[in-house]
Amino acid sequence: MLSGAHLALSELTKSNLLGRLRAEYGKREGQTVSNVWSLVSRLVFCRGLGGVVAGGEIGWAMSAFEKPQIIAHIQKGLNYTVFDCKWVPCSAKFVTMGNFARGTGVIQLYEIQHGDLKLLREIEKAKPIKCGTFGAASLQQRYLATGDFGGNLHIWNLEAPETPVYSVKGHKEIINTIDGIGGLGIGEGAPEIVTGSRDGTVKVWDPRQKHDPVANMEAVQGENKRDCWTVAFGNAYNQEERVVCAGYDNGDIKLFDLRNMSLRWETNIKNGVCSLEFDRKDISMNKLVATSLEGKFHVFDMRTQHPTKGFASVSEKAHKSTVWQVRHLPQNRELFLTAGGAGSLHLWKYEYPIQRSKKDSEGVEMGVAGSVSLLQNVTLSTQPISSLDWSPDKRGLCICSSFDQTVRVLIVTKLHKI
Amino acid sequence: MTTKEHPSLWGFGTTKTFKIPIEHLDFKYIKKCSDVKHLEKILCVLRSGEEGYYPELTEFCEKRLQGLAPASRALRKDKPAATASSFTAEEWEKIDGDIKSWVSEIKKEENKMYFSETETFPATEDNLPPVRGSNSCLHVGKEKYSKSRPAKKKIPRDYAEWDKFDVEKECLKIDEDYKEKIVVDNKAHLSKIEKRIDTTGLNEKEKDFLATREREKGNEAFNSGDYEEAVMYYTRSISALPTVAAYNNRAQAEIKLQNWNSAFQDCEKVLELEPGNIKALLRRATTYKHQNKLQEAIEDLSKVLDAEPDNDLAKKTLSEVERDLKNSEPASKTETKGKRMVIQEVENSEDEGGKDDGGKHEDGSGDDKPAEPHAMGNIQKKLTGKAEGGKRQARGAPRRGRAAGAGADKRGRPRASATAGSGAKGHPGSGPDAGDPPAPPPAAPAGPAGLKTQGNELFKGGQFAEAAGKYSAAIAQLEPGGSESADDLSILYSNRAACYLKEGNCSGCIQDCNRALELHPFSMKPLLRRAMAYETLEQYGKAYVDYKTVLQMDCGVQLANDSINRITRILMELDGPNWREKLSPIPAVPTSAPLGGWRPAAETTSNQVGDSSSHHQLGVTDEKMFKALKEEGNQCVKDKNYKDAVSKYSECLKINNKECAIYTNRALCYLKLCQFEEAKQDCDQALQIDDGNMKAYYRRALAHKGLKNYQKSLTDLNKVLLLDPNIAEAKMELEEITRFLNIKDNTASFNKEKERRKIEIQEVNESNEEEPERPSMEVSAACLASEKGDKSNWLPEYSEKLQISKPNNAYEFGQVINAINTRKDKEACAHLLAITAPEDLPMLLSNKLEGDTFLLLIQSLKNDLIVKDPSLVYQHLLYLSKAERFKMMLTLISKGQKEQIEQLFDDLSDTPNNHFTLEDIQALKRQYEL
Repeated sequence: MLSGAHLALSELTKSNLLGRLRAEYGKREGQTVSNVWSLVSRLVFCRGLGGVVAGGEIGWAMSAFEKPQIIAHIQKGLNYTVFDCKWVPCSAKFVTMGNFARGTGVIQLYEIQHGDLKLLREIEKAKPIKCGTFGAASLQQRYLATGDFGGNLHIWNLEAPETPVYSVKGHKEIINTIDGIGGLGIGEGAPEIVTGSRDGTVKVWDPRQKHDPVANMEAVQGENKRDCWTVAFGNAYNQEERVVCAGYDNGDIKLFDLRNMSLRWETNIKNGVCSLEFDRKDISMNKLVATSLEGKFHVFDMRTQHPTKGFASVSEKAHKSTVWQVRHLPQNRELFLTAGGAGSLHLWKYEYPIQRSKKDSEGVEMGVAGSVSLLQNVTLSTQPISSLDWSPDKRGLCICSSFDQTVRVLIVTKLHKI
Repeated sequence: MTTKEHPSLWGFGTTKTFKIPIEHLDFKYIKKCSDVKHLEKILCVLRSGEEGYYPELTEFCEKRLQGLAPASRALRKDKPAATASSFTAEEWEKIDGDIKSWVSEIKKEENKMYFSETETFPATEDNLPPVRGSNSCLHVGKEKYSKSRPAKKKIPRDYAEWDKFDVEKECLKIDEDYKEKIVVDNKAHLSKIEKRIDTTGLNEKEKDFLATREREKGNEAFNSGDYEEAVMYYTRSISALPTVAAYNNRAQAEIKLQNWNSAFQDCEKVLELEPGNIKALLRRATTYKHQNKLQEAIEDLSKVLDAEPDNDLAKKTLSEVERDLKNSEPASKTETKGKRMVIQEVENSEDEGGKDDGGKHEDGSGDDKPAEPHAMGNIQKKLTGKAEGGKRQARGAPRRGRAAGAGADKRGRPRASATAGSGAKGHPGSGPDAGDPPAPPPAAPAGPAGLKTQGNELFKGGQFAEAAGKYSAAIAQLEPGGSESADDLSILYSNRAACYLKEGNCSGCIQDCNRALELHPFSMKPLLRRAMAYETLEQYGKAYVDYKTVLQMDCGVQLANDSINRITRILMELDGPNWREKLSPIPAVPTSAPLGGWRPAAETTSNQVGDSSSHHQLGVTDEKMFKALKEEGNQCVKDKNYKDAVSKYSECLKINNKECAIYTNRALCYLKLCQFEEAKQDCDQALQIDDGNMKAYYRRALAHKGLKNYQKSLTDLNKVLLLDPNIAEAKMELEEITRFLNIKDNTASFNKEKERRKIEIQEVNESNEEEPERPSMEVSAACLASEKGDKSNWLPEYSEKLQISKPNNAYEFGQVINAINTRKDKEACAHLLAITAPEDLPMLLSNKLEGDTFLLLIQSLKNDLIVKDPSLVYQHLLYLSKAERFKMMLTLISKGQKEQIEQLFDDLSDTPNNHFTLEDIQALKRQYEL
């Protein structure tokens, strides 16, 4: 029965899975699905515990060590469904956010201690927490901004988490995604948080302004509201410039220019956009990676915008199933890791073409896409890896959480040699 | 994939998926197959197991595919994560240890941060931009997404709002949007990146963090080929915290952008922070190479190779440079080379006089010819000096000392382009020169000449001992020849002396110099080398005498001048105020001595010129005459006796009318004498001989200006700038001429007046620029003053030669001050001070306050402003005392300067004013330590 359920789940792929997940969460606050999830994964996890936790006795002798290696350094099973995990800047700590089986939300704070994880703090909240970011917090404060299933945006002081520092009911439905900028010294300008929700809106918040967003991007009345799955800040190279990129369930990618309050560019990649990230938030837009439900990802060269053709892009079929996340290495923007639906991680490198732009027949500049090459891939789990985060402080240190209710600390070696 | 439950629809022939013929699932076929796509399909079929499991065949197929297309997607396999066991114990220890040490480190950091956290809301919030206003509504236009004001409800617009709808405005907005979409400026970000990072209130750690991150961004930009952006981020990094790495990287990026000068400066910075930095040396060598300072390039490269003998890049560059050097050698033998040299001398001497701004330019104008490494060096130094302005000098003595050292070093090396280089510059320095002899006499045996060349080569390569050996051999061969080969012997001794000097064998050097001087008294190089050797041996008295002797022969030898200054100080310290008495008498140099003795290069020049211009029939006497006359002419120019100079040059031309330099020199004299027509003719002549002569163009431009042919002047200046876009003087002239032209157009109706006025203005300009103390200036100034009355609306613009506008920041101010400083134009300075708010002064001066600037300010306050506005003077003095380096300045100024300040204060107290009291002045005086 056990393996049957397991199989059934892992065969749940692609849109089917995502769609169901999201639909369920929206309606019943995720209880049904997440319960199944937690049950199954816990069982799976228990079975494999002996071998895995100790760092793995997998007799896999690799010889080619020129390539970067992805090491599962520490793994930790959790008693809840984890949706997101984030490093606390300037520390060896990270937070995990998720959903208890009883339908409440949880934030846990872990620290790496002597090669193991130590739970420092567990905070339980009324609504399951879907996503979080430190991106808008100063290095001194390190407040965590979270979005939950009820559409609330909260900012927490992890030292005193009883009441949020900032709280707003930002959306009517679940906040799927959140991103922050202006904190941590990354990105010039004001600290801002952007949230994307199932209600189809993308809102930008300034923690200094209560109640109302500072910008709101939503569909015209009467149009179908699309589920916004991912948002990302970028282009914040000076105090004025800033863009928000949003990805939707129908494959739309929209680039909003916050300075002009205009839609700068849009495209459709045919399949739902699961994750978007600029290679750097705080430089003039350079590259944007968009991952899709169907296992592909697209890398857009954002330097050269053609008036009609937009940005040049290269796409790669990376995983057999949904690519849930993409994260660029903070110390080298040409490297990024994608997390796949079948528990796999792929490390990619983008290589620029010789000329990044050329003139079209009318003499207008247009971008030229480069190429991506796979540096390493590993499979960590049979379940989707839902979130991924590079340590901003230590090159090659990474955490990921997966739906088998496990959080893993990974070490990627030899990154400095690329 | 389902298993083989259903029989294949395609029969036996093909597989179910992909319809591959079954026969293809075979070792032989796979071995031969080179179609990657097909192989991938086969592999897929094999892996799926739909035709049965064949592990060996699968593996074989994988290998084959690997061989054909290593990047094939089909080869990607699910791999488990690596673990400790997948590494060797050593590797794992390293990885694990790395993480562990990082963890403990970051914890310490974090605790520190936690404890140092005092205020709950840090001050950083102060300088944050305001909250994105409610006016920021998303304007999506025709797109599916509508805007909605965040402050209002989310319904896009209610009816009331439509009333306020301004169609025009919205249309305009849409238009703008549209335009923006059409004209995408993909480089716009470059100009919008802040060049500086505000680091106020940050501690060192945070600055370091910021600097590192900006540098990383720079590295990334560099790697993606976006060098301009890289430079920008490195600049930001430096502004946060100057580091060797950032400077070094910026240098590299500048090299990629071919901004040799900036790259050079960055390398210099690195070497200042970290002498001997290999990368910086390499990069500086590259900049030298591209600026055609091959000798310096070789020097740097050999330093690199000393430290890292296996540095391939250095080796490669070195060989390239040496090749360039060889190629440039023939070029240096051509006549342009020789001609230029002569001009150089005139200009140099003017320069040293510190009077003539034009001279500086002229100096630069020699800079277009790659065959002239030395002149390049010269201009380079000047340009950087100018560009960096006070900064460079502000760094003070240590820096200067270093520069001098480096300079000496440079001079110590022989110029490969032989001859011309060092001789020309009037810095014969210490390097042996291939061209030292006045063209090897045919009688000289081939052996010694060859040996000498070898020696020179070795010297160039830094192998001083070997070079000395070669010279010794050459000497041994020549010795018996006695007086016939005295000249050669002298040079050989001199060269060997240079080797000894380099080796540190000072006594050997002195001996050789002595011999060289016996053979050839009053030759410059041995004297200089002996002086240096004496100095090294701390026999300062003797060194002083030698340097002095050198200066008697040519007061333009910078090295000697510097050394004299240095030694004077030392001697004063050692022997007290009467140090001079202890010196041995300085030998008087016979006037004819320098000619034969120390200007062999010039001689070669004229020989070469002769060759190229069918001039070789010239008798030796003529040649000598020619040189002597030219010398005298140059001397006259130095003494500002332009009339005599003209006659000397004219006589020169009677002997040899193909010498371009003489024409340009005479043109200069004519210009000084305001004989523009003649100047123009001379320039024409010079240009006929050498149509790329920048000096001739520049002077003709000046002449045209004098003749009011502004259009022609403009053309000539453009030509100058075409030849070398970096000549500031030409640019300035160009601006001025353009202004003249504009005004000419504007004031066409005032024809009569215009003419008169123009001439006078012309004169003022000339005099301001070239020679402030000319008597005609008073006249013209008087004219100006009288005219100011009627046409004051546009005259002031003319009256200052420099276009002085109110400086907004320290950089602009520094530029203006530098410009004024070079002209010693107190009027302009007074004007500058008049338009500058006193309270801005400390900000504008920032840390660039220096002796000469300070003096200039004081003088202009004293001479010009005190009469007009004493309270302003007081204010200026008050704020001047608050400038950053003021205290330091006071300790450095001399007695005479102090007296000037005192006078100023006296004047100030004499002028009654209700803006300040005598007590105020007394207080201020104390500030000035009077």
